Amino acid sequence: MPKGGFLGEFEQVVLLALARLRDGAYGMAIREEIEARTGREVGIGSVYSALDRMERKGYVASALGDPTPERGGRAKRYYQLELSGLMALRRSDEMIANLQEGLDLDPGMFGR
Amino acid sequence: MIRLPRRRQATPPALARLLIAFLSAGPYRDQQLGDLEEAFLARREADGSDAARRWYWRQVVKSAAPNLAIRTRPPRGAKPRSKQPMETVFQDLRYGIRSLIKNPAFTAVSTVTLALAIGVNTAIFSLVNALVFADLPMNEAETAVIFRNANAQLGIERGSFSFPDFLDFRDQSQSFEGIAAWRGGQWALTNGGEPLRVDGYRVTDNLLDVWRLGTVTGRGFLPGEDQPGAPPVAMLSHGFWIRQYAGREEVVGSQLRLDGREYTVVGVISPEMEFAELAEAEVWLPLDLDRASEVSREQRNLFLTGRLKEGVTGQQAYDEILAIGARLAEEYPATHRGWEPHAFLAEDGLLDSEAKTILLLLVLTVGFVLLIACANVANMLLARASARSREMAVRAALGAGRVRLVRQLLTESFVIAGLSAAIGLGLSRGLMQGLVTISNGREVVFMMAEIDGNVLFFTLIVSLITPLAFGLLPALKTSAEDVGAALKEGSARSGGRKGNRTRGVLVGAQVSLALMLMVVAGLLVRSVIQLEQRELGFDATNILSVRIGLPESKYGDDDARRQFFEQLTERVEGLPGVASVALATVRPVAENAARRSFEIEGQPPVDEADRPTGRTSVVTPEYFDVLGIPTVSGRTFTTNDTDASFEVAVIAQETARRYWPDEDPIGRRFRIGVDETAPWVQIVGVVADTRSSTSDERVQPMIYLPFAQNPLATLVVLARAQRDALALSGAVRNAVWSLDPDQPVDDVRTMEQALYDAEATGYALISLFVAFAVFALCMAAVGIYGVMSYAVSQRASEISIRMALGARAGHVRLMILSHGGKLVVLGAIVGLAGAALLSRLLQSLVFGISTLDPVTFLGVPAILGIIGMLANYVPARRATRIDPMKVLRVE
Repeated sequence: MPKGGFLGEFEQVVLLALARLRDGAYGMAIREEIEARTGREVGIGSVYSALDRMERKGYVASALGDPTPERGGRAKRYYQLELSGLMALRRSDEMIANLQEGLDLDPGMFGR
Repeated sequence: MIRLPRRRQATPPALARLLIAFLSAGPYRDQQLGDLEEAFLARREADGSDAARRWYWRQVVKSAAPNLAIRTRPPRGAKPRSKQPMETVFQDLRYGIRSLIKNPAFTAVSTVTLALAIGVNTAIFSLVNALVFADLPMNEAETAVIFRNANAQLGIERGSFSFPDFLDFRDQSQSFEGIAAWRGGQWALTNGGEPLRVDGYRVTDNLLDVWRLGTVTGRGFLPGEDQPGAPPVAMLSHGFWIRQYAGREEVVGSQLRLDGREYTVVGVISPEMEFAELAEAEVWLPLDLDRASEVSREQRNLFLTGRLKEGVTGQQAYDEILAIGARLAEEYPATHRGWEPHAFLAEDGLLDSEAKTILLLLVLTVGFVLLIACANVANMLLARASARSREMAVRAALGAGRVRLVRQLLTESFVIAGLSAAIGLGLSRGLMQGLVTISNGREVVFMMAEIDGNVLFFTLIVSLITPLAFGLLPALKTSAEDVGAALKEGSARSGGRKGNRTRGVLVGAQVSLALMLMVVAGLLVRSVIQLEQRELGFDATNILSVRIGLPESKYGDDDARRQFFEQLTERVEGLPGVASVALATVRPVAENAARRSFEIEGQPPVDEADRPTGRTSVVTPEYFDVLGIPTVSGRTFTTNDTDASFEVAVIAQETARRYWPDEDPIGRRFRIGVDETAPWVQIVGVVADTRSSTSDERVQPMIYLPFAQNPLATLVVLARAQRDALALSGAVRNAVWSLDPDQPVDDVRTMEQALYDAEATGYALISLFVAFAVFALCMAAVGIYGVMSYAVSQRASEISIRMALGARAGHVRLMILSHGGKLVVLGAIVGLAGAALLSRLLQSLVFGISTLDPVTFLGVPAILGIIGMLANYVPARRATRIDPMKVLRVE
């Protein structure tokens, strides 16, 4: 059993989006990335909720950027993936892979 | 440079933005607002404004729950807490209590205000609790059904049933596992000692089964024990068993002598049965019926209850009973027209519509009282807010966060509310006692209301909600003071104008609510005055009234009853201090005489609903003299009217006016009831009217029948005393016992007392409404006074300058008065509109006047205006006494 906890499904989604964006990952960018890749419209609040949780666990780190006018003078908070976050992603991947090994998810299983 | 006007671009929906700002937690608020704004602009370019706005809304809605989730997480690591949360609470409490002690006047006034309001709310809730959430007398109440016989034409909602109807329901219905019947009874208990009048019920043998009740000791009635010829048995109520027999087991199996007949006690009913009127029962006997009521469908004196079969719904049973009722009405149109049997689930059918209206009205008005009290305390807190602005500023400057300050201030409010709730609980007990006293113990409901777990819970909730209602706004305002400004000398009064506007709105609301309460009270009082102003029609002073009910078993014979009452009249007449004596079936006006329909000789027979009706009272010849009811024409009864002579009657003027309008009624004949073999009764005289015992008629169409020809078993002795009527009661009792030592004598009251008792519940309720209105008026006056005083102190420098520049005192006074006057007038206008709506509820409670009675609707605002202006005048006068030089020097 590897050390550290497992990610929730949505946490995994957010972390993967974050990893894809590399630099310039902030709340709305992550949200848009998820929507673009998966077609799933998620609420901005959900994204921040997950990020807040994972920041507490040390999976991600954040820093405030500069305020810009198109944001009504509000600052962005940029996020980046930490090593422990990366490890957590890998653990989740392995877990899924292990579970799927030798499994054929063909709808034919139902005899239809 | 000239800027070209640009087309206004759509912005994110303001409400959605406000919502997300409100819901999101501090560290992410700016990020989310910024992210959303940015994405919104991008989307507006790509998809257009509408789509972007829709998207924004979707985002806000989807983000609500996760944002709240973030808030529940403890704040991130940065600062470890210096105190445990509980410690902070205790610190707040200590500080709050200290600051309340430092301001005893504020503390006392706000606590008393709230305690009164919470007290009345608790009292009214305990009434609601007793009635609406009552512990019903039966077990498994969800499948128990209560039958009610309704007749819209006669205004009866909760009527009873005849014996043949009961049998029809029992035999024809399929919905019930059993239907039981009961009717009230009274007996003389003569097991040695003074004869005792006991109340109770006669019931079918299955009542305990239907209600799933058991016995404390012994057994219930066995099947067949309600049949004629069965050995006489009795059950005792739990209360009577404890009171009379100290709960001794040996009572079971012993003999009970009721009305001279021996009954074997077989058991004691479990105490659950003691509910509302049933609680007054002492003895339970098997149902027995006299011959007449066994066949007559007109004698409706049975109450019915049933137990649903498994799987049958309340609605099915209701429909079935209604259908059987319709069949009966078809079969017996003469006696059943207009009657409709309703089978309600026991849980639904306890209150009639009038009781529901009164309850609703009470709940509304006490709610208003609480709101007014909250507004008042909030007002006082707002006034304190400006006084405490420096304290708050210092604390904020020393590092107290706003949340911390609000919490501190709210804690004070909770302390006030907690204290008030404790006092209020005590007050509510006192109030209920007061109601019992005013209603002279004649209203079961007032006695049923007690402080139980539900009531305590209610008070607790009220004491938790009220501080938020009155404390939150002032707390937010107090803590929002600008630190720098507040600390600077001389600007301590800054920011007050806005505060004063809030206070003005609160006072306006108080005025509105007070006006509504006053209108309700005004309408009810006016209505009582209308009812009381009706001519009584007789002289009620110095009359003692005593009810005597002769047991059927001992006085089954007409002559025996005649003889007893004739002898009793003689003996009472012979008592020193007694001027004259009469007998009657009911106390005039104080009690309802039986309403009977009759047939006028020579007129074609009509349906029951259209038959003439009158209220009948059986009286002795002296009745009219004793009460001082003048004869209008013909004669009253004499000793010559006996069972041997033809049947006679005396009618009231109203009866003559209604049914013999254009002729002399004397010599005319009529026949009471629908029985065609009954003899015709001849009218021999017309007497003056007496006031109606009900509120819907002005005078009653009375029909008096002579006792000699109608020897009833239960009569009221009316003895006119030379001086103090009540002093006669002992002598009258002894006179009865000298004739029959086993005869119970109870219900001894003066006529004046009886007249009061008849209206006692109404008086108690009206006292409540009046008390609420007075309380509301005082609160509103205090509110106006407080706000105007504050306004004057705030405008002191302005007034000083005006006066220094030569403004006259009258002018200044008028300026202040018109400011306060505006509050009163605006509040009154809103209040009048509310009152007009509220008065619709009073439709069934108001008599003799319209619910939009102009006297009330003009008088109440006038009173309120005068009181309001008085409360306004004192500060206005003070304003003109300001010494301009003093004020301006300080500035």
